Amino acid sequence: MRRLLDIGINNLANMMHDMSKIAQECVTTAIDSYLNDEDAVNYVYSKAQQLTMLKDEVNDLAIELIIRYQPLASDLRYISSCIEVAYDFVRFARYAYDIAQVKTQLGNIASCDKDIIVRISNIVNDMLVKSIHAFNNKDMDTAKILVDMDDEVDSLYRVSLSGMINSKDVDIRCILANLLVIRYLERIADHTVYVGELVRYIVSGERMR
Amino acid sequence: MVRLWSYRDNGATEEYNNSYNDDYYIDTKVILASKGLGVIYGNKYAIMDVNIKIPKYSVTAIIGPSGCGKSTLIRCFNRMNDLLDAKVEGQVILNGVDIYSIDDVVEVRRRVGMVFQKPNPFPMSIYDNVAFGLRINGFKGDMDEQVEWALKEAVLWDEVKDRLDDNAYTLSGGQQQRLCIARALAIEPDVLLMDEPTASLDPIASTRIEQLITRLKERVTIIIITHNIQQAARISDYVGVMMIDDRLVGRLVEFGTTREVFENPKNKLTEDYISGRFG
Repeated sequence: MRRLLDIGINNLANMMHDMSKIAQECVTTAIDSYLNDEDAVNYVYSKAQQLTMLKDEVNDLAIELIIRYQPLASDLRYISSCIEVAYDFVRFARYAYDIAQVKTQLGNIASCDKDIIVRISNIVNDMLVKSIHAFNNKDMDTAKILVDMDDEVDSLYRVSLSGMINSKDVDIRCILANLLVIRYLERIADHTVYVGELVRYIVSGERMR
Repeated sequence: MVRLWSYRDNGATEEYNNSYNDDYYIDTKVILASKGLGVIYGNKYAIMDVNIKIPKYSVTAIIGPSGCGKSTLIRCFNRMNDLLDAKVEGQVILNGVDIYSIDDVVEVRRRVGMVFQKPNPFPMSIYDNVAFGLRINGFKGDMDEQVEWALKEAVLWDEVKDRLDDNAYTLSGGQQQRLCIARALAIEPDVLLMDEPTASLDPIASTRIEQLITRLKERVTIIIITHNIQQAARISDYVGVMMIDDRLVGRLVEFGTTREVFENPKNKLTEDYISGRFG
């Protein structure tokens, strides 16, 4: 027999699914806007606002489920993790907004070499997709992959930083723009790892952070 | 909630794991243990092969569906099953002594008190209810002082100090239950068994009993049976989960700290039971 709690958990999962789609859209839109020198600040901002509202709704529903049904074990782990993952999704959008703002803040960056951004953003996009898939499907194997991918992003971040310090490029705007975007991408990667850790907690009960 | 658990769980898991000595007789952190414990009514096992270690000065909740042998188990802990036509196998070790190997059952029940689901005060005054156990145990000290102490321990003194001669039946249900706890505490047991002590009480009276239990564990080890999972989560330090197997025999399927069992149970049966997926 289906429990009343299952109906609530199903609603929560649907909300998380909606949030994940918006978060993913924010990040890809922001990266594309940076690479193609387009303005997406307002669009990403509105989506980020939408995510913040959804996060509040997720928190409300999660707390209501805890109050009403006092869930335990895997139910409790899933519901409490939704609160944390909803925050991670908001962080994705927040960093996407920061990326979208770089062009506005630094002016014309159309001529900058953005190869490193393409390289890192491909990995981070893949991490984003994997973390969302892992969460929506409670897929622990996919969640585990994220740690190695994050190491790769961290390594590229360090190498890029070192390259920028020694760069002969006199256009400081390009250096600053790329540095900021790489930093935001690196933070998005960190949050995908947090989501992966929560997937592992939901499935196995093992706390990673 | 997590913070509260973390506080209560402060070192408990580590301490318990460290104390998990194979020798049931010399483990000083364990006050009561059973080893290969089984109870047979007629020719049928009610519970079988129960191995459990109850840490000192803690609250251990025994949970499980109706008919899984929870009451049968705790009634072994003070040999209450002797009063029934039951055969007990295995050992119950209290402070290093197998209670089934000794003749003095009265002493066992003095060391291990019991409180039942329905308050069962004796048809006598409030004072005499508490003094009753002391008298039959030949208490030689100051009776008034001991009665007052027990009533204070049970957080009942302020409500009854001016009416100690009133009949115990004039008390409310919650007060009667606290009187029964005072009666059990008066003889200063090492272990207090509680078989669904709040099942017949309203939420306010239940809350008072729960507060009392968490306070009492500083001086007495408490083992409580409850069907209220949330109550077990609120007040216990450790949880034992009992289930019936395919032969309808009660088994202890899981034991651990409250947080472990309720956050990340190891046994699928526990997970299903505490999550309400049973049946």
